[in-house]
Amino acid sequence: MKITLRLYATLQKYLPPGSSSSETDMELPEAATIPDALGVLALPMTLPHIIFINGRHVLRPDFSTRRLQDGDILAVFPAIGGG
Amino acid sequence: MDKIVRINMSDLTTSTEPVPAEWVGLGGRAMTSTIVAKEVPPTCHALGASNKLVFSPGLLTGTAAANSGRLSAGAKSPLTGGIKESNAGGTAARMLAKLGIRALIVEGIPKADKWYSVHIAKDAVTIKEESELLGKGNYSIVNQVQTRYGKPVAVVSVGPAGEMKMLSANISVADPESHIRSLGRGGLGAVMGSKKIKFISIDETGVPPVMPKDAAKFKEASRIFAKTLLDHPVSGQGLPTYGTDVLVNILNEAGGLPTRNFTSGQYAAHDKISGETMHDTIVKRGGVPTHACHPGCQIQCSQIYNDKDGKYLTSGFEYETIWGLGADCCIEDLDDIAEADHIMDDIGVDSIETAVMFGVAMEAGVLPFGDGKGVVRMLRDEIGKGTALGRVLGGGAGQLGRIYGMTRVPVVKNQGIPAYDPRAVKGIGVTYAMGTMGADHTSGYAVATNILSVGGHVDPLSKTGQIELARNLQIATAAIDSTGMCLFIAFPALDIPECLSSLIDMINAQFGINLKGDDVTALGKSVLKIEHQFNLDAGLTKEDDRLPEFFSKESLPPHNVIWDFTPAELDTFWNF
Ligand code: SF4
Repeated sequence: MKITLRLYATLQKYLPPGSSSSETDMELPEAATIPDALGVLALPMTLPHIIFINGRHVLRPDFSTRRLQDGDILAVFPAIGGG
Repeated sequence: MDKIVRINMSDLTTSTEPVPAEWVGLGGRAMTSTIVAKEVPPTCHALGASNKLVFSPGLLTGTAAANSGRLSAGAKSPLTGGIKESNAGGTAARMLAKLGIRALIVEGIPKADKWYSVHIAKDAVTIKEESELLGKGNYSIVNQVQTRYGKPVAVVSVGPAGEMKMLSANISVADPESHIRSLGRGGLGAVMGSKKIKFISIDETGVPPVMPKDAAKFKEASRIFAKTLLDHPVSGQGLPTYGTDVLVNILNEAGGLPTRNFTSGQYAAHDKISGETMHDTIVKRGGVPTHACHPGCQIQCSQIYNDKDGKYLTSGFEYETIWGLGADCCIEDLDDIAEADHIMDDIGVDSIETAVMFGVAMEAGVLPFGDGKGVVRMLRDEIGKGTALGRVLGGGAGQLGRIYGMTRVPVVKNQGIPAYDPRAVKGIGVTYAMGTMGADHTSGYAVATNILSVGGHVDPLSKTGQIELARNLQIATAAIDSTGMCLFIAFPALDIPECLSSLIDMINAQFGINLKGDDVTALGKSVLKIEHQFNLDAGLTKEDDRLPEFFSKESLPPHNVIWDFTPAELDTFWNF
């Protein structure tokens, strides 16, 4: 299946060279999890603080188990803030 | 000795009095709101002689506590018709605190049609007639006043917008680099302009540092406090690296980034105006990505943004400004937004009110969406010069909407709604509706818990838990705004218990008192209640605690959500 991965702030350095500034498309096996997707880019699971799938938060207890579906947009942020 | 200084502009006299017993232990917002509520008739005209403009440093301002240098200003707001407190960094708060001035109260209006300046030094407060700097922008005022005194005196000033008493006029405060920070919201610059004060300068020469009653205890508490700021990833890494503009991408991702005058929650060109892009641009052009708006700020979320030629363009370039001119007005060029930010600081208008106004103006056809050069021109040549159109634009989003017959006008209590769409970030919607200040994200920043997973998580799209969240945050914020602390200490405070306990320990060590956590909550509650009562007495009603109708009629893509709180649900906010 194909998903779109978006990485922001300090996590952008994990994007493959040549990606547009914040996103990359990815081929993953069916039923892949978030750690599977981030593992492809060697992004350690200790870094994400906020994760969205299709604009909805994934709660922290589900970070490592939530399965992705074809066409998902997965967006990952470190801890950030402002106001 | 701690004192209250009064400046009476009606007879051009000044006086000094001891801090009355009931004001001892107050600072910042608690002080300004208490004084305004006690001394300003709520139904007075905000630009008339009965209104008072009160400045107060926070309880811990002037001490060695990190991030404690915020200055509060309060008055009846000409924009909202209710009470107002606005706070900013800069060097003024620290100097007032060192001089022992717990509150500076400006009263009355001069009889003659003349302008004045006020100078505050160790043993004297003087009012002088001012003509040379009339019509000048804030950058030039700071520069010339500091040149006159031959030293970096603190400068609190109004630009042309304040002189013209525009409802969007702010009050500027010089920062350590003689750049501009703003007491932004609510038209306080118009109040200062109504009193015909062009600037206030403060000289701290010859005054000793502020000493705590218990130095050892203070030092220990302040060390723990500073460590929590460093340890929390938001205040220790995120804010210093990217500044507040890092929020563009996450609000866009969450579908809560108000775009094209609040008609969508996502902006296609978000990457062009994001904090990541801004950071890279600043570094490439030799600017400063990490900068403190006042001495002693440890978090340093501010920055210095240079133009293409590496020359200073603006600083304190915040998410809300960039969102407003960027996503809400669809201006993709960060340099245009930066130039507009510089002009807004210089002519002295609130960048949030002005950006929200331009979003409405673009929908009304005054200029096209995306016209960055048009915004720059209108700021400089219309608002800055006070042309007839400039006066219309300078009155803020609500006024513009009324004049052009618009229905999609994002304001609460006539104050522009910032940067987070209340339909998709419902907790902040409750804060906008119920806040005593009009729409003000800083008065109860539910975005932290709705979007940023700080202080837990409350689903931004669901109504559940939002009223309680907004209430608790507004109470805590009213207390924090009274300490002189920058609100960004709330990020560690929401997650690390020692942050708040060490803050209370610092206050106790400073004043030799014994506050508990509950006392701080009680202070926050009492500040909110004082402000709410003032608003009711001024004629605001619970019908003013509502969002504009279009939020409950028009659904916001991509989540296609509407604002669905009932009036009865909202009114439970005040059950405390
Ligand atoms: S964190 Fe930012 S806003 Fe707060 S005091 Fe520091 S520079 Fe100013």
